[in-house]
Amino acid sequence: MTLENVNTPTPANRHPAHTLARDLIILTKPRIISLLLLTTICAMFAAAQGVPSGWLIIWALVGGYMSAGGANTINQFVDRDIDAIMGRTERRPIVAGRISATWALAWGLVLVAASVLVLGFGTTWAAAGLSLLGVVLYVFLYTLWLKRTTIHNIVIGGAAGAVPPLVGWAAVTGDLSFGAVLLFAIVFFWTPPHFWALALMLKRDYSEAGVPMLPVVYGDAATRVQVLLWTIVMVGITLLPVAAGTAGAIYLVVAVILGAVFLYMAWQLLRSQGEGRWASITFHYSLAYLALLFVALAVDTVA
Amino acid sequence: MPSLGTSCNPETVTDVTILATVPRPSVPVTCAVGLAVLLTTAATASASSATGVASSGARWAVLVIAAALVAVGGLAIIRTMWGMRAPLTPGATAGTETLWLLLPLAAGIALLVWTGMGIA
Repeated sequence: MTLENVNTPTPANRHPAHTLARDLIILTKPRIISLLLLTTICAMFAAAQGVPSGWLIIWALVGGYMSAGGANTINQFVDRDIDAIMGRTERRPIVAGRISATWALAWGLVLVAASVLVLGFGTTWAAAGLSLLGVVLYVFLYTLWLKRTTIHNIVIGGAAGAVPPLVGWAAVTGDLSFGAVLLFAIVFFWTPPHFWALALMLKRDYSEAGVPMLPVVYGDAATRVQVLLWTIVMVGITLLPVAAGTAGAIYLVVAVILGAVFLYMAWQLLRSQGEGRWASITFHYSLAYLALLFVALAVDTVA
Repeated sequence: MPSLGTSCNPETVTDVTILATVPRPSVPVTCAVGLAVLLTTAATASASSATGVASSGARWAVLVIAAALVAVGGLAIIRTMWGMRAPLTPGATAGTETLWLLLPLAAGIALLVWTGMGIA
């Protein structure tokens, strides 16, 4: 069913409003956005060197959700051909025919446009511009270009997912400093081990869809090696806020402990020789890792 | 929307497709070095002030440790991924693949230098 016929339901073709609303929310991928918003909020604490105003946080969250949600919706519009092939995505609203591709694209564009206004008037126009940059990177650099052309797709495309801390920082200060760049870098270098652990689990899906993810093209063993090596680099990058003087000992201790555990996970993944269990453990730990690391940063600045 | 090349065509790529044999680094050594520097970092944290920004000396120590990790990991990444630069689709070239490999690591080095300049 498409959005066009939602307004004129028939007994045989009924689409309750709540189902439509649910699908519109599903298009935004709320579970993924939650981690992005957490990095945004924590970056706001770091930028403010304390607790930012409540309204500023609310506007940043609303605008950030709309921006990321719009980008995710446009992503599903562009990727609807391969989403139909992969079992993981074949039930998404566009592929399942519950919402037409055209209406989904319109919904995504409206969300992005609204996010610019919300962030611009609610926080700063620098934050709004950076948020729009994130959408452009995600849609054009990652989805339309790199995703289907190179094994480095999620490395370079990870820049899009690293923009939310910049948005949070700019929402508070109106500009960017080196501290913001370091937060961007942490998320950027976190993306490869995080995403390749996921790709190890979804290799068959990506293979069937013809997406050149690293494990599809060069195999599991090569991917597990890269997860460990990129984790080593990432841990090094996470130490830089301390060296730069934008974070203190609380953050450092947490970063070292979390990083050591991440290295242990990556090492076990390397030794697992094809067991999906460690890929799943590493992937799920990477989510908790980033959340806890940014929370530690926020706590450090408030303490 | 970019077209898919033959290497990534679902009909030609299977989940067991391996296009190259990738050299495996001395992972136990790499991991041991990584953990050792992490422990050193923890000691540095203990030596620095409990709260607030660490002293200049402690910041330099942390930067050196960070640089060691980035260097060890980065060099191993280049060594193991250098053979993976073959363009897969019409949308990629050997040049872009090389760029995508080196760009993030160059950015990491730039961050290290930038941080060092900030301490100095």
